[in-house]
Amino acid sequence: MKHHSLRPSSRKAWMGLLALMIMSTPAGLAAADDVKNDAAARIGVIGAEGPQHLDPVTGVRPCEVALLATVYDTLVRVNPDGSFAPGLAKSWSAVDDHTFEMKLQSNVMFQDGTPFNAAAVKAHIERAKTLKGSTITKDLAAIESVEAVDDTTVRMKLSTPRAGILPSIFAGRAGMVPSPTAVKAAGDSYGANGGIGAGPYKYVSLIPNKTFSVDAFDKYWEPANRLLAGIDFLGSANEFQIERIRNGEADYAAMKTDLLPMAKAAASEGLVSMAVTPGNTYAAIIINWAQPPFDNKLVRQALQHAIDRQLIADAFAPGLGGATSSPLSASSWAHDSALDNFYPYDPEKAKKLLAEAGFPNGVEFEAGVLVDHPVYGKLAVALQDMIAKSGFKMKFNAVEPAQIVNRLYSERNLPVAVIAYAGSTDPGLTLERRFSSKGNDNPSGKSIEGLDNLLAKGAATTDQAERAKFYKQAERLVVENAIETPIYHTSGLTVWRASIGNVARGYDTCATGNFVNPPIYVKAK
Amino acid sequence: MTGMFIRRVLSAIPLLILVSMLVFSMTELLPGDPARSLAGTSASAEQVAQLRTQLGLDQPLHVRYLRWLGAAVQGDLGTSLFTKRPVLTEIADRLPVTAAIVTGALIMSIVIGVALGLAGGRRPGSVVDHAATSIATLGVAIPHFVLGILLIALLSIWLKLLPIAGYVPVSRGGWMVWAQHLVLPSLALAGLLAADITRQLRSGLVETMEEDYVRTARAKGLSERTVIARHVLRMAARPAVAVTAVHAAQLFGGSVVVEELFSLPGVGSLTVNAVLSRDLPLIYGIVPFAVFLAVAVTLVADMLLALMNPAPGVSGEGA
Repeated sequence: MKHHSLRPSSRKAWMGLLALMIMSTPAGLAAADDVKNDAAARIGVIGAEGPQHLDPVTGVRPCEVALLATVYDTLVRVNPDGSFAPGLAKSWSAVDDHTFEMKLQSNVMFQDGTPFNAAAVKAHIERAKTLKGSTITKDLAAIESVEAVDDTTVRMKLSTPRAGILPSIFAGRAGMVPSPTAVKAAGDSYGANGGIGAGPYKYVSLIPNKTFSVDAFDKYWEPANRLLAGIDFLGSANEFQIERIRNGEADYAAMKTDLLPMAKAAASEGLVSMAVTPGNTYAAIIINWAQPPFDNKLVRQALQHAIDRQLIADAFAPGLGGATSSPLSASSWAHDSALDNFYPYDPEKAKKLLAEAGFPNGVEFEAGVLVDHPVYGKLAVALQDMIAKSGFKMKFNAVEPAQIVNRLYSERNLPVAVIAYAGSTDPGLTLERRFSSKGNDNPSGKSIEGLDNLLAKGAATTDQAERAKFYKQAERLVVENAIETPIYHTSGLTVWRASIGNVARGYDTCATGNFVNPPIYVKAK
Repeated sequence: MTGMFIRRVLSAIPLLILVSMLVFSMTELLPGDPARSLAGTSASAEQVAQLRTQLGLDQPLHVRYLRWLGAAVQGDLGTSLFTKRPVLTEIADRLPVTAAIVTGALIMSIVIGVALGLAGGRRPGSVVDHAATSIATLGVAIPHFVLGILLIALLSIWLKLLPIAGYVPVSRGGWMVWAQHLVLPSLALAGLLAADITRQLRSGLVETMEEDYVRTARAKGLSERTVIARHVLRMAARPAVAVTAVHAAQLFGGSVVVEELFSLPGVGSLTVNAVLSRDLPLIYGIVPFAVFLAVAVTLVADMLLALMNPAPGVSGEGA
């Protein structure tokens, strides 16, 4: 009853969020494009730590990708709505199921003067596949060989049909092509002392994990996409982000969401602009559903009904919306809104399902918990109390943050954990990694019947509508079989000075944001 | 003096070896696998195992330690697992920031501490003395990060005199902008030491002023200022100098919190990152380096104390 009364407000919240997104998506740029940019202006960004180094192939932190994109550009770009757009690759297509071809932009130059061409892309992919320490070998595993057909055509032979997934792969690290000249000169230490790409801005300085500065690259192939004199990433931020923008110390902040009331107050005074955007990371009870008692579908469904998601979301992400029964964000093009609130909070139904499953006296299980974590430690305590009302006795197994992912997905000796899962920008990748039988992040090591097949079909086509059809079916299988227990999606909070244009926040993995697609700029006075 | 210097330097060598051994042993207790973090989330178990071998993490602890020690004595502290840069370069790049705020804190705490200590110690029991003592008590009680937040609220947000956080190198903003960004962190770091100097100097002054030789000096008709400057301070300042020596080394430790609060790219924040990411070579390098710094600073302070020692034939004070 309580839940039903909350749904409309939840929907309104999401509509509001989507409206915020739409305001800053390319459709909203037409008006912004009429405003002239101040080409001599730099912006200061807080809340985004500098990368560890500038080698896109060996990096490990997901949130540094947005910063690397300023130097490298990407072969494929992701629009704020999750759709793909041409980048350094003008177009791409599946020649057949096992051949993927990309046509590259011509007359593009790296920042060291080396021409950007098919040979550079081939060298980059081969390096990413073979370099010891590459963190993207698995993403590129389906590519058997790469051929530079001519200066602007790259053809890849695939072991399995992956034309639908590859654009999202090439929108990330794999699509950030470094200058082959620079890579050859630096060897394995490439990136430690800067990086050379074909992006709109060139490297100036880096203090790893702290600050990072870039200046405009005057020979960038798409000058309309480079509207600033430079960007200074000023590192992680303290609690005074809004004040730093007010004081003129910074122009843009990726903020902690618990500062939302302050951001709203500053925005209502007209001091700053702000956006709250749904992310694709979600808090969840991750279960290894190959192990008892969660190998029983009825027990899993009982657990779903034992959680008041809206109450938890309101407590842990107030004002940000996001209660969810699905691993896919409500803003994802592959999300089926019919699955919203699929498992309403109903302790009586949960108890009934447990009894049906053969557990009339309830179920006891042990969960890995980050006890000292400011969010997920408290979340575990709240969940423990909440699900106890439905007959689930959750005991805590304190696990260190550095261990939990490894124990869940690699060693598979942690059957349950209360943690967040960082979904990919591409819904297909999220579903594959978490739920396919060979998924990296699937602790059970098995899948629901038909799920692997649907994911393979979605990966084989480049038609987004077609992919959405398969992924919606896959999402339904995941939700109906309750092999995931998502609770709420996290959101990103961004605040920026009103003089800044083209701040587009969309379906991001991280709260950092996006600085090059569309290009962020300072309005001319 | 030279003998003391050589003895202290020589005694630091076994200390550094001991510390490095301890660090190696303690990092074994750290949860998490650096190879797993380095390999990324999409790496298979085989790739992680390969990386572990490549990094030598599958070797016994003593083998890894002896290899590290052998390289370290030749000036090679290894390469950071995550930034691909030599550990020495990482430390050298960050040291100027930490050195700047520690030096700033040292200067500020001496200036504030001496001013308050003199003001209170010259007139014990006066309103000025009560005020100085109260400020000193407050300084001892307030942790660096709380003082930092209060200073930000007062000097940056309310009075808008100084930047809230961040670091601008001289090469980008010039000396003035560089210094402006370091004032608040230095002040936040200086609080505790300034308070201790105040307390020690005040007590020293109060005690020394009662000494016979001070009364004699006054009886000779010397002005109060001359008495304090020539006869009292040297003796009264000794406890304050000793406290400064101890705290100066501790300032490097305090910089960890202050650098995080003010988003400064110093050695403190480098240490935090190294521990959080299990960057073992960086941890192995930073901790002995910090110990080396502490030993060096303490040595300098001890030499200063020795110079102030009013022994017969050194200062003539007791003659």
